[in-house]
Amino acid sequence: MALYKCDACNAYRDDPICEKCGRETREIQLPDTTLEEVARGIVRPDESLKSPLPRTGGEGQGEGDLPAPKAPHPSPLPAAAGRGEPEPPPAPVLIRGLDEFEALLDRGTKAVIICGDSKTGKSEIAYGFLRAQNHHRGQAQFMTLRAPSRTDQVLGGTVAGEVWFQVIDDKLAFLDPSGEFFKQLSPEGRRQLGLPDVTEEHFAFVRRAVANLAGVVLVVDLTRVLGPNDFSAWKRQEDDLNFILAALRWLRWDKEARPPRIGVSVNIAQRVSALPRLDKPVLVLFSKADQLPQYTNRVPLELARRHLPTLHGALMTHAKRYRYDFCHTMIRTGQGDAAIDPPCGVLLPMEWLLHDPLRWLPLQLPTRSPILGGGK
Amino acid sequence: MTGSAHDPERVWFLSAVLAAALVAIASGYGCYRYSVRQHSVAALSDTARAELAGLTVTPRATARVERSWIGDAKNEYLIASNVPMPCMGPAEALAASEDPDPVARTERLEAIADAAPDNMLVALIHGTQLIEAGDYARAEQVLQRTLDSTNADESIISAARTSTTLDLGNPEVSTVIHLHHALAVAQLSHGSNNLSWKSLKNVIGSVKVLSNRRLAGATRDQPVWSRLSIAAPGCPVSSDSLTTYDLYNNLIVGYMKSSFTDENEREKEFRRPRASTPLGSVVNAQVQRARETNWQNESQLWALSNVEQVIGWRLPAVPDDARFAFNAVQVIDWWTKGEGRGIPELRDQLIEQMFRRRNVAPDQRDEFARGALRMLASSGVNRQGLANDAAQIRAWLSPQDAKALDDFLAADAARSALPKWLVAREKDQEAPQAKLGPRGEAWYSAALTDYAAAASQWAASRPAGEQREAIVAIWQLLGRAEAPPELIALEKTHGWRSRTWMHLASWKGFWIFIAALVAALVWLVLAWILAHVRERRLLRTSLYNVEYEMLSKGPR
Repeated sequence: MALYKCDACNAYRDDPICEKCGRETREIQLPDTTLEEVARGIVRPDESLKSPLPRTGGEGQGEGDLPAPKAPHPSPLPAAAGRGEPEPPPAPVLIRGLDEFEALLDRGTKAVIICGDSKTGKSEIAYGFLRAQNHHRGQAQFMTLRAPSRTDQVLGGTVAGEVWFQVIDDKLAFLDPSGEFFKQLSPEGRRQLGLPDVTEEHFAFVRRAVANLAGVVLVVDLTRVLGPNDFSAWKRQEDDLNFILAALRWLRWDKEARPPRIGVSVNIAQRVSALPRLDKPVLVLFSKADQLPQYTNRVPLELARRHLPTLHGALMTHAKRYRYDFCHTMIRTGQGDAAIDPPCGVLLPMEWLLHDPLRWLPLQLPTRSPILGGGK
Repeated sequence: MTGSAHDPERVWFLSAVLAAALVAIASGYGCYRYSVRQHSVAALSDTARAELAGLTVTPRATARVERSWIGDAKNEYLIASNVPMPCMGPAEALAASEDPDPVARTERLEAIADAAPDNMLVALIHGTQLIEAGDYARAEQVLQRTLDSTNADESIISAARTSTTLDLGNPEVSTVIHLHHALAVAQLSHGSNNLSWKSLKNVIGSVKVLSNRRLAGATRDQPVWSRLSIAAPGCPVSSDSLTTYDLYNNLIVGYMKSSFTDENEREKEFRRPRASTPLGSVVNAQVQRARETNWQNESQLWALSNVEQVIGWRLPAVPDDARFAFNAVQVIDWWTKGEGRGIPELRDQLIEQMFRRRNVAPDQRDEFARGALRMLASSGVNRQGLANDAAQIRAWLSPQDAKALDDFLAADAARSALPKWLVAREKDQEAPQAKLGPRGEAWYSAALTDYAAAASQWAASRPAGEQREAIVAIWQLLGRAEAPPELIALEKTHGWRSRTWMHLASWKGFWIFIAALVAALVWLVLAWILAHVRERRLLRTSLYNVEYEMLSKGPR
């Protein structure tokens, strides 16, 4: 079966005409790979062609730009089973960088998990926080993100199947998984690829970090729109983050045995409402804000309420304390994107996330409460 | 580096948190002050406070502290060592006694004494000279030899003991008394182990009847000298004359310093009617105890018995002889250590008499003054009333002890002022113990114990509710000071819950803890409110724009 991609919607279609926007799509030439092989690498069909992707934002080289790793480890996903059927237990996977990060957790380090789709600028935000801390606070830290494609201008993308981490201080570290891990979890992505339900193995990259959680950063790329008044492209990110938040809540609190006949997604959906909300703060950062002048003069909370209702509802549902903000860590120049020093919108929101001295106060109201006014 | 890259809520928030801390501290302090006051004497009724302010404090713990100001050296017994020279006797002996050359004087008197070994006047003149020269051993030999050589003394004493008209002005009687007294002085002064009990007891026996009559009748209750003087042979009565107190004094000292036993006289001496005085009760109790312990410490019991007799003649006054009173207090203390109930009044009277009379030999003034000071420290004597007499004794003391005496007087005034100061203190009133300087702190702690004892006795008669309040207030007054037995006993009349609460309510540490909790709670509530206000405001703030504006301004 031929596969098509609508560049306007940034979505794959089964038909030459996009069912959503009605525009023409372009056919994707599939190489000699089966659907299962595509799924195993969790790369989109066009990425498997190794064609360089145009940068739509300013930050983060796409993970797909990187040469395919020589994979000293098995693929993070086993061969897909039939659509809709529970996936058989996958073999243990090796995630590069995870052992070292988990060793840090064993030392008592707490994790700040950065979640977001590929190319949203997660790694740049982590690194940008270090630069901002150095610039504004005089607190120097060197980069521990493993960025082999780093240049003077950009950091480069995280290699698929790899987690990066950035030590903040003796107590905190960012966990910066490749966007591919989140793609694997995307219900919409799996549906489009006809992949079966996720397994618990898909959460291996984040399971220990959730148990030693200090905070969650959700990175949303608002530049992924069709037009100035078309917000539909954000929906995909919202849905993905909705699932990720639910999964994080479920991973953090649900310690009960899971019936093998119930799929993980169903299990999360059924169980999560009975679990406590995430007890650590969640920061939603709208990245690449330098390209969003039409939004940045608005209050981020109001923007989220109005244009990101799914994400806002997810935060109200799954997180006790949360906030939204904009940030940009790079600017677009004539020669491409370049990191700026200091980045903007990273330091203060991150300090809100990490350094609230009165967080221990008892009986704190959730952000969604009418008194704080962070709900609907 | 740019300047203040901080969220816009930071300044007011930190200031408000600090202000909240100040409010919380103030709240805690107010809570502490209020709670402590509500459980102090200030919360008692006006009537109760007036009565508490008027309590008389008996010095017990303070007496222990005050005693420590003068060290714990043991007092010595004072011997009545005055042996006046006779005014009559063989002319050559009198002439020899006035020889200015000491060696020649001694040789001449020895020659005369050797020629007439049974001449009591010669022996008295010779012995007196030797005692004055400090040659007690030789004096003892001379005097003992003469008394061994004649029976005249015994016949005179026997006659005196049976006569109801004993004439102390009779030279023969006077000579015998002085001779025996001189022998006792010589023996006691050089610590002879062979005390001539016969001499000591017989002369007492000869003057006893007269002493009894004289002391009991002539001056009872009169503040005049009650001493019965015995002039030296041929001399007129003067202030230097021997007195019956001197004779009794040396007999008592002899008893206390040796181990006298007399199985024959024992029952006669200690068979007594039912005691009518506290001291008599003490003597009877000790006699009973001695009977049960095979007359252990019999010698000291004889001393106590004689003290009781002499004191008994003068009751309700006490013998007006400082030396006798000095030794009598020591004898009483020796026997009543730890069981002196009923004796303190008598003891205080004797001590007061010591200070008033002060009639001790010049060479005994140091010892007397130091001993009197120690006794004063452990007495309930009104020291203010003795201030003038104490000033006389002060001159006999070392500078260190003189300072202690000053502090004793100041402590007495402080003790009197303490109840009012504790219960109804006036604004800017100086602490009573302030004049005690560095000694004040320890003294004040002991004074609190003494006051607590008096207050507990007062509280024992109050209604249950007021009694509980009073106990809490007393415990609070005490603080870290030692609790008196009266307070412990009173507290035990309440149940354990009541006792526990009373202890907690009186303990300032408990209210500090409560105040800290209140302060913490106040701060928590305020901080909680502030944190949520800040969170609400931050939620509506674009920190991106804050940073953007700050970066737009460029480095400062």
